[in-house]
Amino acid sequence: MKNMTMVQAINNALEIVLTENEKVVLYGEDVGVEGGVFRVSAGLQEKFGEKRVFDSPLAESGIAGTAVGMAATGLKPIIEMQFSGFSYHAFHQIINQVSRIRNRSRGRHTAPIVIRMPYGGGIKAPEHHSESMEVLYAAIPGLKVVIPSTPHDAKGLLIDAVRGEDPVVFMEPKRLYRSVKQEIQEEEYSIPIGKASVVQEGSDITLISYGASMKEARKASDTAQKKGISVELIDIRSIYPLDRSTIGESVRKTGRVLVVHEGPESYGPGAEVLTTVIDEAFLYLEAPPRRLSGFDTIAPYPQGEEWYIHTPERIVYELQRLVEY
Amino acid sequence: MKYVFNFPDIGEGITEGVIVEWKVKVGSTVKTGDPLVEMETDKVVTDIPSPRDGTITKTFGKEGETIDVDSPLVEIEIEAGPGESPSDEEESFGVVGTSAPAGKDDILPAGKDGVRKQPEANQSQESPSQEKVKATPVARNYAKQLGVSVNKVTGTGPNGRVTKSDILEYHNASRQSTAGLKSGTAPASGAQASTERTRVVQLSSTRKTIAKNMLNSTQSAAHISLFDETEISQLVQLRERYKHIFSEKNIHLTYLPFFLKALVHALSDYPVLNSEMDMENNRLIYKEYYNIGIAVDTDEGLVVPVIRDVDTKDISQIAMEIEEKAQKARERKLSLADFKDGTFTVTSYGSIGGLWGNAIINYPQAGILGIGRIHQQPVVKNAEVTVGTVLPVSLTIDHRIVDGGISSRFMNDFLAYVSSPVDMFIR
Repeated sequence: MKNMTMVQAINNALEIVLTENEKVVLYGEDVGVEGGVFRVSAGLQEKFGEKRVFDSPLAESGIAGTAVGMAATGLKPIIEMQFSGFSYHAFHQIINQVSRIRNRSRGRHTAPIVIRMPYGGGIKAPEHHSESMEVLYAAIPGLKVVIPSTPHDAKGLLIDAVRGEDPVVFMEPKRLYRSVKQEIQEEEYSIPIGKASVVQEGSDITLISYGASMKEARKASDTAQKKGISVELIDIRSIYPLDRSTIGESVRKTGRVLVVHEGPESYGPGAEVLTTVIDEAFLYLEAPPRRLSGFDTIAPYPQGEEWYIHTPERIVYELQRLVEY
Repeated sequence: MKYVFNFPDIGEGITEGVIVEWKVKVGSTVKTGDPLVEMETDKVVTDIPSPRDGTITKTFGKEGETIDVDSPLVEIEIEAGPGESPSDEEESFGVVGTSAPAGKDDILPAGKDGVRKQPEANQSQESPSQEKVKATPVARNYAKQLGVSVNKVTGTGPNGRVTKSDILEYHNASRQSTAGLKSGTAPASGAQASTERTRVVQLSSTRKTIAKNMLNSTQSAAHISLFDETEISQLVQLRERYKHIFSEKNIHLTYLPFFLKALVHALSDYPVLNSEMDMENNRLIYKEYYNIGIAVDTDEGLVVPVIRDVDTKDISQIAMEIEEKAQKARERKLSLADFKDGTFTVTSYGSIGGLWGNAIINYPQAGILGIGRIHQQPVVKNAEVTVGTVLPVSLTIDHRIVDGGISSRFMNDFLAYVSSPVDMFIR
C-alpha cells in the first residue's frame, strides 16, 4: 500500500497494463518524451520504449482514427486527448467509427480503445481547457464514459477499461489530479465499469455526484452530518452505463435526492440521474428530486471559476432545503 | 483565505432567525464588530456583528428568509494565517493552469473495490420506522397536510401503495383515539392561498411565539379568574405629590411602579403565588426573588420584558426601568435576557381601555394580574355617597397551584396595599 495522487495512480495503472499485455500501446500529444502535460505517463516511454509509448502529431482526429485501425487489427490503443476541449476535433472518428465498429461489423470486430482526457475546471486554465462536457460522449450509443474521483477508483477503473472489449472514454478530473491522496494497493486490481460506489451510507437524503464535484460533495456531506442530516453519498463513477439499481435502492431508502455535477444544467447528467430516480423510486419520494449543476454558460475564465464551481456550502444549503421540504 | 461565519446562537434556545436586513453585500469591507445583518429571532431583532476583518465574498439567504443556527451566514475573505506551503516539486507540475497539491486534510480513506476484502461484520440494520412505504408524492403531500406520518400508514392500494383513503382512515382513527386531547394538527383543508376576497399573510416570529406560548399556557395551566376593585384616593394623592418631584429628574411617574411594589408585598405574604408547578416531579418550585413581567403592547405584538428584583428597588428605580424596557420593546431592541426568569406578570390593559380582563398566565408562572382603567365613580363611605377613584383588578391564577381561597386572600391583600400604600412600610 502506498499513498498516491490520482496522477500517480493512473501512471501506476498504465504501467500495469503495458506490462501485462504487450498489445497495449499508449500515445497522444506530448505523451512520450514529456510524459504528458500533467506527467500522467511520466517514465513510461523510458520503460516500454518508443514503439509502445510515443508522441503523436497535434491532430486529435488522427490520434483517434489510427487507434481504430490498430484496434481492429488486434492492438489495444490507449490514446490521450490533451484536454477534453481538444477532443472535438476527433468527433468524426469517435462517433462514426470508434462507437460503431462492433455494430457495423455485426460483432466480428470490436474497437477496444481507451480514450483518456483530462476534463473540468478549477485549475485556472483557459475556458476551453476547463469545461465539463462528458454528456457529449455519454449521449453516444456504443461508448462507455467513466469519471473517477479517487486515486483508487482511477486505477481500478482504468485497468478494467483497458481489459474490456469495447471503447471507453476515460475522463480525468484534473482538479483532483494532485489535490487528494489515498493509500492504494500497488499491485493490479480492477473495478468493474458500471457500478456506482456508496461512499457513505445514510438515511435522510441521497447525494449523488462524480468526478471533480465529489470533493465538494464529500465536504458537504460531512458538514450536513454535523447538522444532524444523515447523507448517503454516492459516486456514480460510470456516467454511462449508469448504475440504476444502486441509485434506486438508495433513494427508495432515503426518499430524497440531490445530484451535483460541474457541467451545464440543461440536458446534463443530472437530468439523466433524476429520470432514473423517478423510474426507480417514484413511490418513495419525500421531496422533489433536485440537481445542482454548473450554469448553462461557457465555462468561465479563471477569475470566474470560483462562482461557477459549486461550493460545499451551496450543496449543504440544498440538502437542508430538501430534508426540510 | 475564506472564512465562513455561521449564524450563531445569540441567546439560549434559539434555533432559527429571519433575515430582516443585510447591512453588507458581496464586496463590502468589514471590521470585527461591524454589523453584518439584522436578524429577527423569537421576540428580538438584533444586529449580528462580524467576527473578523475582511471582505465579504458571499452572503447566504435573502431578506425575509429563515435560517438555522449554525448555517452559513456570510463568507469573509480574511488574511491567511501562517500555513503550510506546498513543496516546489509538487507545485511545478502541469504546463497549463495551476493544480492544487494535496494538503494534510486531502487524504481520502482507502478504497475497497476490486481489492480482496476482509470479511466484514454485518452492517447495522435500518430501524423499521425509517423504512418508507410506497406512496405517490400526491399522497405524501396529502398526508403532510393532515399531519399524518405517511410512513406509518398501511397501504391497501396497488402493490401495497398507500392511497389517499388509507391516509384519511388513519387520520380519522388516530383523531378519535386522542379524542380532542391534542390540538395542533393541520386543518384538513390544507394551506390556502390568497384569493380575491382573502389575503394570506405569513406570521412574524413574534406572532408565532405569542401564539405558541398562549396555546401552551391555556393547555397546560388550569386558569381561573376573579375580579375585584378598590378605592385608591390615597395612592392618587401620593402619586400626585411625587409626580412633580420625579418629573424634575425626568422620570415619568405612573401608577405601575406602585402596583409592582404592592404586588411584591402581596407575593411575599403568599409565597405560593410566586412559585411554579413541576408536575413531572410532583413538586412546587418556590422563587425567593421577585421578577415581575410587564406586558407591553407594540406594533409587532405583545412582549413581556421583566423587571428584576422588584423587592430591592425603590419607586424611582422601578419607574425608570419600566420606561426604559417599554421604550426598548417598542423599538424592538430587547435582548433575550430581558424576557427571562419572570416569576409573576402584570398586564395593564386599562391604560388603553377596559375594566376587567381574563388574562392568560405567562406560563409556567402561577398567576397574572390585570390592571383595569382607573376611573371615578360614586362610592359609599361612612354611609354617604361620594366620588371615589376606583381601580378594577382582575387576577388569573393556575388552579393546579392555588385554590380560590388563597387567591381571594391574595387579591384582598394586594387591594389593601394599593388602597392604603402606607401599609407597605408598616405591615
